[in-house]
Amino acid sequence: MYVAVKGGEKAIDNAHRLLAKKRRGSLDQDEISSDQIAQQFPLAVARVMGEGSLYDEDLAALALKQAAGDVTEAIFLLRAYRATLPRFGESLPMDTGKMRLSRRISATYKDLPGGQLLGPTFDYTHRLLDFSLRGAAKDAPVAEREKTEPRPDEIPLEQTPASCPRVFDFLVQEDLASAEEAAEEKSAVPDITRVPLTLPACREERLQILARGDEGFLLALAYSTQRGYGRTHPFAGEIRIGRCEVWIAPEELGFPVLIGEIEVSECETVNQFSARQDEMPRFTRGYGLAFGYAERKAMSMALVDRALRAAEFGEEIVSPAQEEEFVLAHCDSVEASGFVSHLKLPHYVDFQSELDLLRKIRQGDMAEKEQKSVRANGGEV
Amino acid sequence: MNERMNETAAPPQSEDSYNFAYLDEQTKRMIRRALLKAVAIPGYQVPFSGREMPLPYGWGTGGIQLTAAILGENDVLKVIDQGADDTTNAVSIRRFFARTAAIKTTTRTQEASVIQTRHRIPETPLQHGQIMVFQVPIPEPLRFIEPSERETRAMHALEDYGVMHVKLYEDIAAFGHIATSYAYPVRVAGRYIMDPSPIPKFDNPKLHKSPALMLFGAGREKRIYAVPPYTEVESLDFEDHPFEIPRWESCCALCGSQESYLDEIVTDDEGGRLFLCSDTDYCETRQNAMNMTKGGA
Amino acid sequence: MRAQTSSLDGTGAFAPSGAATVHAAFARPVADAQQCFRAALAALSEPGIPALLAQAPLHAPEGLSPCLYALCLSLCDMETALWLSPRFSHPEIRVNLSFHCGCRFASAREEADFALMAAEELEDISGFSIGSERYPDRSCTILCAIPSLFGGPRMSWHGPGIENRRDAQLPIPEIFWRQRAEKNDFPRGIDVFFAAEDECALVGLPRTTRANHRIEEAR
Repeated sequence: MYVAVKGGEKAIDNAHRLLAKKRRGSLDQDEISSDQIAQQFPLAVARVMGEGSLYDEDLAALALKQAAGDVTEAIFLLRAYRATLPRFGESLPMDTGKMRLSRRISATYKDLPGGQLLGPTFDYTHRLLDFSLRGAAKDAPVAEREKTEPRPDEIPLEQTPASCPRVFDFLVQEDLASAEEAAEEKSAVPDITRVPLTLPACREERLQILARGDEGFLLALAYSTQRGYGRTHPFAGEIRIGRCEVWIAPEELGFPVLIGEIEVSECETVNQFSARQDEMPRFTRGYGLAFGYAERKAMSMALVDRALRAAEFGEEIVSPAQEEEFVLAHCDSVEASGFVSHLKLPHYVDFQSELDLLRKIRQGDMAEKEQKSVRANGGEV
Repeated sequence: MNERMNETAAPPQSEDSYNFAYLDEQTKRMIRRALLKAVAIPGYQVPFSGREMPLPYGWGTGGIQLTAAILGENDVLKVIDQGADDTTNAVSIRRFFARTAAIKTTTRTQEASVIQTRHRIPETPLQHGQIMVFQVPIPEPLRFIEPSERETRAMHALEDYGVMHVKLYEDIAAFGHIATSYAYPVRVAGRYIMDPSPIPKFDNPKLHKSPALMLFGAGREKRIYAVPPYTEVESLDFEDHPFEIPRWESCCALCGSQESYLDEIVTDDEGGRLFLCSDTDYCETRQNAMNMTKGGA
Repeated sequence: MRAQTSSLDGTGAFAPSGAATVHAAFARPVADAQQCFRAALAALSEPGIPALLAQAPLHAPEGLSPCLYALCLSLCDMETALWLSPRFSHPEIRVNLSFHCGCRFASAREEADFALMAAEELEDISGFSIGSERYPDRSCTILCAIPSLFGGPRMSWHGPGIENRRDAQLPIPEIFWRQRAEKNDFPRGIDVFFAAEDECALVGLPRTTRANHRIEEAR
């Protein structure tokens, strides 16, 4: 007699055990520590923090370790953790003009106040595998300079420029671009994690969603605008990476308090000019901001932000990157990977109804064809 | 018998750091307020600011959030997926609540005060006072016809459901039947068209004037909707193509039921087929009753 | 920020500013709020059937019945705006609600997510939001204090949540029904919870319920 499949609980326990084994790899190797990941995979950590929307290098590193290096899974772990945290308040707007820069470049000016600062970048590396990094690097000699030179986050405050003007500030001074509206003039910025999104969304909401959005998805959309699907003629006005202070102003204190410093990557693109009603034409801008060292993400975000401002500048919406609903509804990797992977769950009840329906339709078709052929034959007689 | 009842969860870990039923009270209140609006406007999709849950989107996060928001210490929870209590996802969700809320769980439809489900409504008639929580992937019944939320929201507002009827009629023209066999659209209390979640259309009649409260949660899409008890729920159809539910020529190979929804099991590679109840509790209850009768005779 | 009731001392009360006293609210905040919500859910799901509250708050502010106070505690927080009618707009109620719920108080009816009113004040329900056609959920819910759930004119209710028809005898002003009928435009409308003062029970009246006087019915 047929016995139905049972034992889901046991199967789940076994799956967890096997996964732990897969993650640990060969026991001949030392187990990697999450501190090592935090220090030596800073770019992966930045991506997890950004898309996980929680600035915590240690937890992001832990998530990466637990996820066996699967960045999307690590982002999900951090998000789920974030959802349980209480909200104590909101920070004051962060002033990226006062960033302690580790990198700052502008493609629109040869030189500019504050200068170009190349900083740590892959940009001019030749992409040749460096075999000296292979295997355990325990014995590799550490160059004297490497030991003594401070990392960007170790540079004492007094040695960093107090403030470095932004490229857009020059353009605004000349009235060649509009100033961004100051946050104070608006009512509180809606928090997309607390207030259900209503479409059309405001730019503040869009930027929050893009900041959490999947880098790969945004990169592809940004790329599509360059290839003509919603062209915006961008220039990399400025990219800056560094550490910024975070301030809060608790109501009961009545004055602002510094709570820490975070590393961010910011990108502002100078885009094709546009003239709103009765106004002189001005350059437009796209904005991107991401936690940590995440230049590609910040640039992609800026391009997509600009594309999504199409309606604001009276541009025709013809391409995916300009479609607000399309972009906002599909850019979150936690949502996307969950829904795609849910196809793995059993669907046999629904499949059964489809089977029945298809059989029924086919029976109907056969009967009809038979009838037709009978009629056709009858006609001949 | 014991293994069916109140399975004990894995030994409690350090769950004390989380609130009762995982969600914080602020989130629960937000969901509860949305639920009350959903009940007041039957079939209307209330937006809520859903949270990331420790289970992936698409795996029941909407249902889990609703269950977490309504569950109390005295509730008895049943969780099914495809009608079965022992499918991996049902086991995983039941464990989650047994662990985070330390509540009683059951596989018996009659004993449950809250039933979270994916894709089925139990065969055993629901009772007054019971709450069904449906996991919903795509809450918008018009989504497959019109992908834009702005457009579909306007259609609901204007009660402009012409496109839905056109779509169903095109099916009839192409296939001779309405080619929707699950997530079959319904009209609630004569107003909103609603997606009953991907239950087979076989289950649609169970929604009509049910004594139980039906709650629907879509986590990824962040929508909540509801059907209060004793509310009219009609499946869309046409006069010349009335709504019909599928019937099987076979009966359940284990309990012999001819009324229940059957799963088709492929038994060999020569076309061998077997049919079994998808509702495992219903099937086992019938089997036990049969054994009792045999034993008594 | 939301304060914990457990931080209060054994007497269950302290006076932060001298004028109004803050009392302990729910004895078991998580469980009691859940029970109260379930009563509200049951009441709204089946209009006209009184839902009993097992656990009332320890000490309701003066002028607020335990049942109505429980509703406020379980539904209001910093994300909602509560409008207080003249009858409820006094310091002890404000101080306790703002301490335990952290809720904002709406200065205008139009801004209210919830409105706290007494039965006799239902003579005027103008101004409250009934939501929009696209978002009919963005409407105000009235939390109404009522001396008893019975004793008013006999009415017959029907609609979702009611098997055939249900008798209700809420002692509320006649004009409320006319105003409600004029104001509600389904799916837009006002939902009401009636919280009894003589027992710990509530009745829900969602916008979907159609209410007729028995006499009219008979004709």
